[in-house]
Amino acid sequence: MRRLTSTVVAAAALVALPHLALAQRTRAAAAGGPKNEIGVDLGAEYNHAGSGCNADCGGLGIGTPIDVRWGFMASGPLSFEPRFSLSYLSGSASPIGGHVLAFNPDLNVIYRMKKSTARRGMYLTGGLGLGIANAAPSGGSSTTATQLSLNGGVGKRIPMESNAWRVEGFLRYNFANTGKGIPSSFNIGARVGMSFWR
Amino acid sequence: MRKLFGGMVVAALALSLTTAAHAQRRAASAPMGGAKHELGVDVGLAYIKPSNVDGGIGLLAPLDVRFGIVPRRGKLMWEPHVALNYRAVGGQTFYVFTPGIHALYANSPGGHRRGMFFEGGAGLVMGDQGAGSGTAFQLGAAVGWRKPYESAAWRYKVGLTWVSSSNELAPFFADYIAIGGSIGISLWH
Repeated sequence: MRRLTSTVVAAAALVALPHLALAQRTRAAAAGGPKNEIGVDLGAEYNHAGSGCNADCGGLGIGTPIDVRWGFMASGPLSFEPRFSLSYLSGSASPIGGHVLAFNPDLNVIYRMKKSTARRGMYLTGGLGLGIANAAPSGGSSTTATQLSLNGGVGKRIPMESNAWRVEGFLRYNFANTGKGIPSSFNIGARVGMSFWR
Repeated sequence: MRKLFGGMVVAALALSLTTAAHAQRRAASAPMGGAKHELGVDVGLAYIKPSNVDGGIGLLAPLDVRFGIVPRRGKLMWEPHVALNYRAVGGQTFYVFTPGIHALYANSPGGHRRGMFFEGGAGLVMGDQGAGSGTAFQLGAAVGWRKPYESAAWRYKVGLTWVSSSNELAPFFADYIAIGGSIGISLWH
C-alpha cells in the first residue's frame, strides 16, 4: 500500500509540475524569447544492480536517441524539463508474443549556475522518474511493474550558432520493487546532445 | 562476405551523400532564412509483418534522430538518420545500430519548411542479439507533411519500410515489412 501511495504521489507530481512549468513559461514568453528547449542525446552509462542481484550485476549501455527532452524556459534560474521514452511492441513484433510496453517519464528541475544563462553555461539538474513496464505473453495475463527513480547531474550548454551542444554527467538511483522482483540499481553515465529552442 | 560488401557499399554511399549535401548547402544562397540543418525526433507507429510469421504492432518514441542538411536552393534535401542501442551485460553484448540516409523531395511552394514532401531512404541494420552479428539492408518510402508551429514545425508522414533477411537479426530487426507513420517535431538552426 505504501509503495502504491508513493507511486501515486510521484505520478501526481509528474503530472502537476509541467503545469507549474507552463505557468512559468508564460512569464518567460511574455518577456520575449524562446519557450522551449528541445533536444535529443547520445548517452552512455554504467549500470549496477544492487539488492536481489547475485551475479553479473554490472553492465554498460550506449544508445541514441535515449529520450526526448522538452524543457520549459523560465525567467528565473529554475526551469522544468520533462523527458520521456516509449516503446510498445505486440504480436510478432514483441519478443514474448503478446505485448511489451515500456514507458519512462521523467521530470527534471534545472538550476543554472551563476553567470550562466538558459542558453549557455553550467547547470545542475535533479529529477524524479518512473519506469513503467507492462508485458503479457501470447495468451497469458498482463503484468505491470513500476520502478521509481531519482537522478541528479551537472551539465553544460555550449552555444553553437543558434542552438547549443549540451553535455551532462548524471547519476540515477532506481528503487527496488520487491513485490515484482525488480532489484534496486544505479546508473552512472553521461549524455551529450543538441538543444534547439523554439 | 557478400552481405559485408553490400553493407560497406551502402555505408560508403551514405557517407558520400552526406558530404555531397554539405557541399550543396555551402554553394548556394538562402531562401530558407539561413537555416542549415533540420533536426527532429518522432514517435513512430507501424504494423510489422515478418516473413512467415503473423504481424504485430510497434510503437516507439523517440524513433531515431534525424539531422537534415537543408539546401539553400532546390527541392531535394538529404537527411541522415541514426539510432543506436548497445548493451553489454554479464559478458554478453547486444546491439542494434541503424544508420540511414533519406532523400526528401519538397512538393510544395513552402520548400523544406512547410507543406508536402516525398521521402525515400536506404539504410543498414547492424546488430548482434547474442547469436552472432548480422547486417540487413533497409529501404523505405513515405509521403509526409510539415506544418509550421511557431519557429518549429510538426512533421508527420505515412509510408512503408522493407528490411532484408538476416538470420542473426530476424524476426525483430530483419526480414519484415513495416507499414505505418510517424509524427514529430522539426527545429532548424
